[in-house]
Amino acid sequence: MKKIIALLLVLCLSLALFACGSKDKNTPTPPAPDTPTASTDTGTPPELPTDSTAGYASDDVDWFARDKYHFVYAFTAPSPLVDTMMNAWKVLGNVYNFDVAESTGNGDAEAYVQNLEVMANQGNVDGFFMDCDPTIQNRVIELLDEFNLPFVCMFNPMYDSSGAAIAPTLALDQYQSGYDSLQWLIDNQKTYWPGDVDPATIGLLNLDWSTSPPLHDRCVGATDAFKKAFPGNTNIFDADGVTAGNINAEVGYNLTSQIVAAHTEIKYWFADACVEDFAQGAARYFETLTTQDNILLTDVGSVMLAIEWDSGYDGAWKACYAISDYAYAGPAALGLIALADGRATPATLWPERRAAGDKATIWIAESSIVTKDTYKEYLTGIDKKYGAQ
Amino acid sequence: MSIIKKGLKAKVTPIIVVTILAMILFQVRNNSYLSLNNLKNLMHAMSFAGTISIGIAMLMIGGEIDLAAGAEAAFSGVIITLLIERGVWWPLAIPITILFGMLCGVITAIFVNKLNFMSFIATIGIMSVYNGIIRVITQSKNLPISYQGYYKVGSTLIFNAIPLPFVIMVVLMVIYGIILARTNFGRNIYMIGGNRQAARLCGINQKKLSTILFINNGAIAAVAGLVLASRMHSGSPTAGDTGALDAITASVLGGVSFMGGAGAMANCFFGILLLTVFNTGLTTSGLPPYWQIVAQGMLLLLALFVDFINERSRIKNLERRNAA
Repeated sequence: MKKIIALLLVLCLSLALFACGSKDKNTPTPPAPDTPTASTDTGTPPELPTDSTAGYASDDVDWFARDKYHFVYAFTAPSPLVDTMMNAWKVLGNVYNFDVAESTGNGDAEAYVQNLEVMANQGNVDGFFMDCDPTIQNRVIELLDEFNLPFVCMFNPMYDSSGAAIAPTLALDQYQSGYDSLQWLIDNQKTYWPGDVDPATIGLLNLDWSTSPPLHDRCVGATDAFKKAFPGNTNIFDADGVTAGNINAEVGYNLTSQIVAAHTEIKYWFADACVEDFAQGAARYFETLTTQDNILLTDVGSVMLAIEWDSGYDGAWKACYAISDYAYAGPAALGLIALADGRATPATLWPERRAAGDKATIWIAESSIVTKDTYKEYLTGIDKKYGAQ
Repeated sequence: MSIIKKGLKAKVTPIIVVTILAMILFQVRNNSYLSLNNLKNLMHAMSFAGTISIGIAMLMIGGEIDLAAGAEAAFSGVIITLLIERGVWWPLAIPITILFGMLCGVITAIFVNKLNFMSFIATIGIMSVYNGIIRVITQSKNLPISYQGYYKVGSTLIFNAIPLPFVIMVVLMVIYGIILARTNFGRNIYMIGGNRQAARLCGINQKKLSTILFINNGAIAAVAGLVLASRMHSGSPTAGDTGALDAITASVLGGVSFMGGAGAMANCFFGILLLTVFNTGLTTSGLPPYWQIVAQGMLLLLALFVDFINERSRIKNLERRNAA
């Protein structure tokens, strides 16, 4: 009996392999171009005006005149950011008539590509939000070209060999975000530190996560802002969360406490955190100090600080670089809808925002420094702009 | 003199010596290392993983392991946050959360003792389940605790110097140390961990004991989680991601045997102290971060090597005694 079952299983496996293999043999794979195609059918794409401004909330389009679009968010591994984007798209989907499924490789690049192929093979996917490892981008482009599916990249741009961006992307200028968030503190230090402050007693604490280049770039930006404002000041201390192996508030607390306690010669601190969790932990530590008024903390990201402010927080964490979820999710969705509609191609999407030399646009997500007095208005404004409110 | 000899021969003595040497070395490199502020920081940094290590050490001595302890702690932190935010009076929310932790322990015990899964494998699966559920509940965000009265649990300083979380950890270690060293229950744990067959032949119900240890571990993980939530003013889905590993490292470093049957709460305490001194000292000494990771790994390997040597010498002593 066992032998018969085994034989049946082998036969089924062979049939399955044959069935999967035959599709590849019959469908020729076109060579991967540098610029991915965007049309959803095999016909000639419609002619578009050269100054196309498709891909905005103000597009003159009836979102419900078509069938609901089914998009897929293909990300490398689950993370809070993924949940944030999915939640934002859930809301926007009701406004612009689409839904989003998930596809991931859980950190495995091979599994990522396989799952992408499975999703593309379903036949009912209209486009992808892509967040993929740069090392597999060529394979991903090749795959999506084969299925003629449009995509917009999230957070990580794709570049060709000459360094030109080749796919529409939603990104944040990580370096600038770190630079600007610390610069704001420097510009406003007199508000919090009235009187004369000896620059030699000022220090910078960077709460970093160095294995992630985007997060690390935030600290590099902050460091450069500090160096420019205080030339010759070497009181720059980097605390890397990688040594603790985790991004959470406790790590932020411990790292901050270790550095601050070890440097009693520093009387005034600028502190910047590459992620909100570290900033939250640092804020908790600063609350235990009698010298909290001499500390100014900032970070990139506004979710946690907004919640703290809603609860009446008024400590060292003075400001943050706010990025609404909808500042990413909105343009990405609108851009992908424009590509799926055929109203734009990667080459013609958002041309007014394109950097010189790029073949596709990297849309830098709207952001702003916010304080306790301005955050509500700013974040609500972004939500309204993209139809989330 | 015999006390001094006994002290010198104790398993924990080399750990204490290494810890003191490390503290001196880090103080030389940074003369604020042994300041009151930094000692407070050390005590804070020890308290979460140290508390978790109590339950884990009990399990390891009894021949089991619970890799989900960190996730249970994080889950408990989220639960108490939800309870307080929904208006539950925080002194009542604490025992409810501890009961929740015990329930987590019951679930683990069912997999290990009823379904006979290996605890190492079962708790890896359970850890993933809890981590997933926490992220579903919290949407991967930290949930804030707005009721400021609860912050006292994590931020109170006894005699204006000793953090309450550290005191809670030490008190629990003393209690469990006494249980291990002075009670029949404690002796049974050593027997089960040392030789399961022999313990069974002596009439010790291994599954009942193991169930109690898992439930106990769940309760202790809950205590660690709710204290951390108070300190951070929020329940975090990532709070326990490395908690179990740190706790196991500290226990093994301190001399609790990974094979079971050996160890004590004092081992746990000095293990977590050495680990914390080491990690904080590396940060304050300015060692580049990737070299810090190498150093941490080497410390763990050293701990495992010392455990291996101790285990071999324990077996040789047993054989010599039996031969005699």
